[in-house]
Amino acid sequence: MFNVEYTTIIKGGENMKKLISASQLMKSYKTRCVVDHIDVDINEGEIVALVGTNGAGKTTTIGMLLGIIPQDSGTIKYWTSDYKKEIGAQLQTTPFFEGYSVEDNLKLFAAFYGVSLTKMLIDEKLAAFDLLQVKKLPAIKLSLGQQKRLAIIVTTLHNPKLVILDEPSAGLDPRGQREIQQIIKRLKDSGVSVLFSSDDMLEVMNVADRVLMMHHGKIIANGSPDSLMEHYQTQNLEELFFELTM
Amino acid sequence: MKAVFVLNLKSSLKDMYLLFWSILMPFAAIIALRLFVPNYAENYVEGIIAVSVFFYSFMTTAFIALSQRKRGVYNLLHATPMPLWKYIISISSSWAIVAIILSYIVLLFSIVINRLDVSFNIFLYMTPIILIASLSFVFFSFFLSSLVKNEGHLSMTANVLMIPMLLCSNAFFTMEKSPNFIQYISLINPFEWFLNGIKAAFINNFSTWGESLLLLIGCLALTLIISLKTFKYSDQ
Repeated sequence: MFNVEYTTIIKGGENMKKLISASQLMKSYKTRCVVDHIDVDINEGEIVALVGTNGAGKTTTIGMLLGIIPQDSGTIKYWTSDYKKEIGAQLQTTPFFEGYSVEDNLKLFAAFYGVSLTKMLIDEKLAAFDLLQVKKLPAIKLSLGQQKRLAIIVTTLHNPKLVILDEPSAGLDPRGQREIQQIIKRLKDSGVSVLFSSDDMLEVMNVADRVLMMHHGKIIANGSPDSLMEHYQTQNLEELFFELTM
Repeated sequence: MKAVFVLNLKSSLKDMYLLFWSILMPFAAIIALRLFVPNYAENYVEGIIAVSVFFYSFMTTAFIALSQRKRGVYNLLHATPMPLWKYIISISSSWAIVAIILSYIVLLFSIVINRLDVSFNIFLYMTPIILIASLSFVFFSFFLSSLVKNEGHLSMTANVLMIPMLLCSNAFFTMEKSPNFIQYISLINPFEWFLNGIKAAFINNFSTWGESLLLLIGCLALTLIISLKTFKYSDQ
């Protein structure tokens, strides 16, 4: 059990436009409370990392924010009424339709977002993520790294304002992880806000503007990596996490 | 919707393994009947067409839907603005078109093998019957795939539903001498309505054809509602 005072340290985010404001979110499965009355804000122009160990409640939180898991209690406010049109989602399992090629999966998901893709645009997007050479292959036959990259392309097909990625680099080798981190940074540079979950503290330090640390369904820290480490006098986020969850 | 329909149709028509077995089994049945019971072979054509459409539209699509759910793609669909009814209707329509194509292939083969004398009208009258029936069966397959947890459960549950529907119909033997309760079941059996519609198309019996079509349209509406209400995006 841990005993820590919840701390919010945000530098420079106070005047940013809120894209998502979730308050007192709670979700239980049978007798187990998976997300325990948490508040989550995602601001425009930020890369926010939701970190925690397996079972911390990250995927469930993301599911609630995406509207695919109904919360038991709490509210979620979006900056737009049509939030599903403005949010791109990548799920942990990176699912693709069986029997469809890479190209056809992109066309299908584009159709779900009401977007029509030209051949040139598809080729451009695939080329940008180094997947042009596999566009005719069945999507489920791609390597894990290729599937992760393809899943991120799917999140951007409709030019969303916010992209939510659930463990985008899980299971990848260091090169693959570096590629995903660069992709996330490129998304931010192109004006897309990002919320991603991870259990890799080093990755988070390299990429995130702000960190939401989860443990046993609760948010135990919220702030920029530097400010959190400075406040708790730790060398890195991993050390901070261990300290907060001792 | 159009893009979803076209993409799924393209994918379904490229599945050579599935198409092969969906065509091979009816072909084998037609040839076997011609060889061993040549005097009655043409009496079974409607039944063979109906069964092949039924198996493709119900059993096959239920497994596809279950597989997609277990992969998690329906969860991702849930995160998009695509309304569920649009997705289900688009996908189901493409599968129904494949079912129609399969039935035409089986019918043409049967015409050749049994040297049947049929008019072009048969295609005209059979098509709406097969379209409506296969759509109903596909909608029902979504419902079935939402009930079960895995392929084993699906196989068992599908058999529990399909076998009585086949046996309580006039597909391969007459219901006239069957027990009363079997005959009552056949009256409310959608597969029997489908079969009657195909048989009516063969003999230009417009009254029975129209009756079957109306019953199947009612079945279509009911199964669409059931599939939408019971659809599960994930196993959780």
